[in-house]
Amino acid sequence: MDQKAEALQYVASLGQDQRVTENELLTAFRQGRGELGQGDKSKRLSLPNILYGIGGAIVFLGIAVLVSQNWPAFTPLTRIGITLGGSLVAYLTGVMFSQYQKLDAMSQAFYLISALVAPLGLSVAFYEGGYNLGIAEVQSVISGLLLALYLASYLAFRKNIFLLFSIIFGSWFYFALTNALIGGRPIFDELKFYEYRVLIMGLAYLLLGYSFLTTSRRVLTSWLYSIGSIAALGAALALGGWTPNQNLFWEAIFPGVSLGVVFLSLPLKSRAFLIFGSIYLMVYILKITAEYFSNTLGWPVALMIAGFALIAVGYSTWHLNAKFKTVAVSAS
Amino acid sequence: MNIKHNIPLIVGLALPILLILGIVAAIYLPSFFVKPSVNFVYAIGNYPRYCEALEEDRYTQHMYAIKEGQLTETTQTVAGGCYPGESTAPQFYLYDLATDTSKELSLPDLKNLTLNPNQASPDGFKVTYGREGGAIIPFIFFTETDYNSVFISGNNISRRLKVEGGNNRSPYGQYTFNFVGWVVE
Repeated sequence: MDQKAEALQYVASLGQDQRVTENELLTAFRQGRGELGQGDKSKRLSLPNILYGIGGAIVFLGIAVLVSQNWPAFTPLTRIGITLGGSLVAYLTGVMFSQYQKLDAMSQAFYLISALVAPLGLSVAFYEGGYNLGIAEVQSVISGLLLALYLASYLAFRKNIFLLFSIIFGSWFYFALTNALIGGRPIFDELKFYEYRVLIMGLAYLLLGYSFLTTSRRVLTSWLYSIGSIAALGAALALGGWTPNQNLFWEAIFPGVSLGVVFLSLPLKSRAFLIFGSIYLMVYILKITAEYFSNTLGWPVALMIAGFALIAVGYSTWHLNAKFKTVAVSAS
Repeated sequence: MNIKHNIPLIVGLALPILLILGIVAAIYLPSFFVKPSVNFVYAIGNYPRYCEALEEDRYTQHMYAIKEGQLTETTQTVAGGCYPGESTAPQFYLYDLATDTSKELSLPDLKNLTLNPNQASPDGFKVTYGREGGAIIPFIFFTETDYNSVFISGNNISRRLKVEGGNNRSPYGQYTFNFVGWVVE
């Protein structure tokens, strides 16, 4: 039997015994073809990378404090020069450093400085131009410009840091634009509107995280899963409301949603799903107990029931987490 | 591009876009089918009362009210001080919803109009202040009443009105918008 036929037969036996998943096979295949990039291992957080990140954040803090402390003393041009100009200089420095492989990690620090200072720089520029920063239309323009810049940067340079900030600025733009569209109209229930927007944003994050799983962008998946599950589950819980203005649909489906998130943690190998699904289920149990049972059964009995329910959830979480570790060990 | 493989990415990007399109449709579509038609009278300034100083410790209080469809003004002398901000008589305007314009009315003009002081018009609309919001940090938004914007709302539509009085309004004082009543034809 030739090598290819032997390999395929071996893969078939692995699949039959469920010792490997489809995703793992595809990942290995793509790594072999170089589609996931040789530099993937270097993208993991090492001590120099952490220090670059902390350094970049401290530089941003320094610029923000410098401008705020000397605001009256600086002319408008100086303020714009330090903030927007500083962001531009950091961006160009990052581009220059990324031309050299040894300095590629350091270029990430300069991209981080640029991305953190850019919103400050644009806000200062718009402020000096006489625009009110508090209104949604101006916020939409600022966030839209940042989204366009960082999306274009990602398409040009294919750096995950640009994609990360595209997602952040895109989320800001999404909220600002929808606020601008509403335009102060009193027909929209503000709280419900906010909850639905957070729910949609959370679902979008989860789907983006899943789509990045088998690509070079998978470093963002765990972050997207965490923020996405917090947002989506939080919004779904909030949409349930509180008696006597509760929404029975959301209150009825929430336990199914949070349990679904918990059980999805296994196939998706996501601790974020397990942790946040469990936490929100516990919060839901406490909420329902306080909402419906504290006046009928009395607080002490309601608390006992809630406590036992939380113990059951906690045990299930631990059991699933142990199963998680078993799957991870057998996959490696 | 493998569409089947990228379905989660496409759906994830499409969800927020669909929400935005849904908001645009919810705002603009109903206005093609439903339009408010009952004009109304409003006052800019100290309505329904203002004061006129007589002496240091006495003033005349002017009060407006709608009685049997007519706007009436009564006065009484009151002990106490009259603050400058409360001493300006209000200006009355008739808002024409068909042309979105305001026409200033004198008190004799008002006597020719029959007014309904109910908050809701016969066709189910209300005149209210708008809301304004801001964001100190993205995702942390706050909203409050915007006294510089006035809307007519109801039947799932909301339309901004071009009222008189400038952009310096507060809930009280000489520039405040006050709804008076719907014009009964």
